[in-house]
Amino acid sequence: MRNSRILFIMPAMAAVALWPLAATQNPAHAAASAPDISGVYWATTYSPQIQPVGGAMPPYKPEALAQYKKNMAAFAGSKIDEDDKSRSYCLPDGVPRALEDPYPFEIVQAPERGEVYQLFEINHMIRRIDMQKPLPPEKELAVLPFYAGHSAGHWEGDTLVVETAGYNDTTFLDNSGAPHSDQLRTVERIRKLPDGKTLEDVVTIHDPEVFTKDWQARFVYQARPDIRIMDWNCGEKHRDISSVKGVHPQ
Amino acid sequence: MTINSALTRAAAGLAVALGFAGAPDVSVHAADTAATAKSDAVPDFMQGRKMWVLAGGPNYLPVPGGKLPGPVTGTDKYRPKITDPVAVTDNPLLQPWAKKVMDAANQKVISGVIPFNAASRCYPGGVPGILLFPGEPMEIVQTPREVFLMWKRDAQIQRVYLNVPHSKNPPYSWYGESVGHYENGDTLVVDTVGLDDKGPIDRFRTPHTKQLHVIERFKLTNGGKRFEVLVHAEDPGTFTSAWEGLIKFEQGYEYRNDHWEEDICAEAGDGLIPVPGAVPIPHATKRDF
Repeated sequence: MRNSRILFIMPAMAAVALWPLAATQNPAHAAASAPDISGVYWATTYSPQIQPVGGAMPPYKPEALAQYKKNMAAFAGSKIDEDDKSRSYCLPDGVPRALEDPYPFEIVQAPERGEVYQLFEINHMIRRIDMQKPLPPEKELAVLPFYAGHSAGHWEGDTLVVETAGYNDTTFLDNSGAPHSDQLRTVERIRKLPDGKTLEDVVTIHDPEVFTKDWQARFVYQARPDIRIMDWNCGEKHRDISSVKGVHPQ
Repeated sequence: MTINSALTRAAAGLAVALGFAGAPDVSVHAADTAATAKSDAVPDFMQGRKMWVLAGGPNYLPVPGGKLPGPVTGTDKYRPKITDPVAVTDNPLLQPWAKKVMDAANQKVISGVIPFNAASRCYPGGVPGILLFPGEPMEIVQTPREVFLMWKRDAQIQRVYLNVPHSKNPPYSWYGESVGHYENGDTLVVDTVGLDDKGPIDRFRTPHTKQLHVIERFKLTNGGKRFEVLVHAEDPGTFTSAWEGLIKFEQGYEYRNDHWEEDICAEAGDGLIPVPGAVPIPHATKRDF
């Protein structure tokens, strides 16, 4: 795996200590006062390269940048690179790649379960956000990494704050081959904008093995109560996504 | 707002309409559901965060007191040499073309060919076939507008849209279009059409057409520790009559079956562990975007 080549076996960086931990979570208020952000959402624009807020390129370390350039070359063209298992065998995209895909997803709020789900159409990835418990320690997460990571969330006013770690290191950050390591952690701030129809997800990306500093990307989606998530089987014809700006059907 | 209160309000204002133009004739069942839709209480299939496992084996069970024929069954006469399921095809339920297809499939299995099993080969499990996948648990997530049947196996999901009629022309797909409602405080009724002809009905490779119409009645039992599913299937293109079968689930046992884990089927698929002679797992060579 091209991703695994940049998996540096190092102790967790001290920077993790600065990470906004889930200690502020308050399970008691999660169900009682949660805003309703449930529904189907779909991006209107697409770029294969994840776009950092206020910058052209994520702050790669030199060896990671070299790996990224190799990946980009392999990802180019209409034929799927076999190492990109999210496309060749439709394994889950992981996060944040799934956030930039030009297919819709659904947010499901289940306060009785103390959970929020993000259900993606592409590769039918289930992302489960635990609203009752903080993230387990790194050592526990490392035993059973998930493609979607392990997520814990809480509400801060109108914003769903989701911290995710324990990622499977075989995914990519985007559709151009941006690499990451198993040290990847993300924090997302997800909210509906004042128009009530737009969902914003600002994700902070922390991966000290790959990047020189934390950085952010921003995704926006339109609420689509008029559509339903469709079944997905790898290699079959899927929904028409030509309306998503930036998509170039192959 | 709790799910119960929300659903009570939703149910009070909505008429359940299961019939629609172009669908198979469901008049008998629609009348039955209309007559029994008295309670708007919401049965709790979540039971906290419990997961459910198949409790009665991977084949349909007889329906006690059932008035309709049962489903296609299997035979053990080729065991122990052949352990894959072999169907009994001299079943009056099957139309001639379906019997012919199943006879041919049987012969392949008897000769040692690995039969196609959708869930085992990382394909969507279909309706109602996915309920019979024995290996891994499922959970039921209930919201006021939708119910999600989520299988740990390959993160497969069947969505059930509550208290709405079927679409006029639902697109055909592996899981079709499911609409549902609650009855009697203990039952979730799921009505599914729009099924393509690929999803499995059972482990015996019983074929079906796009006319397949399935009604599943999920009923909580044993104080919420179990539920059973009465499966009612009609397909005038395949069967000579409607048939019914029963499937039972129970709460999963700790440790592995009481909480969610990712279990991605293709992760151990052909790319890593080839299975000679088996149908290849789903694979794409061309990008969608």
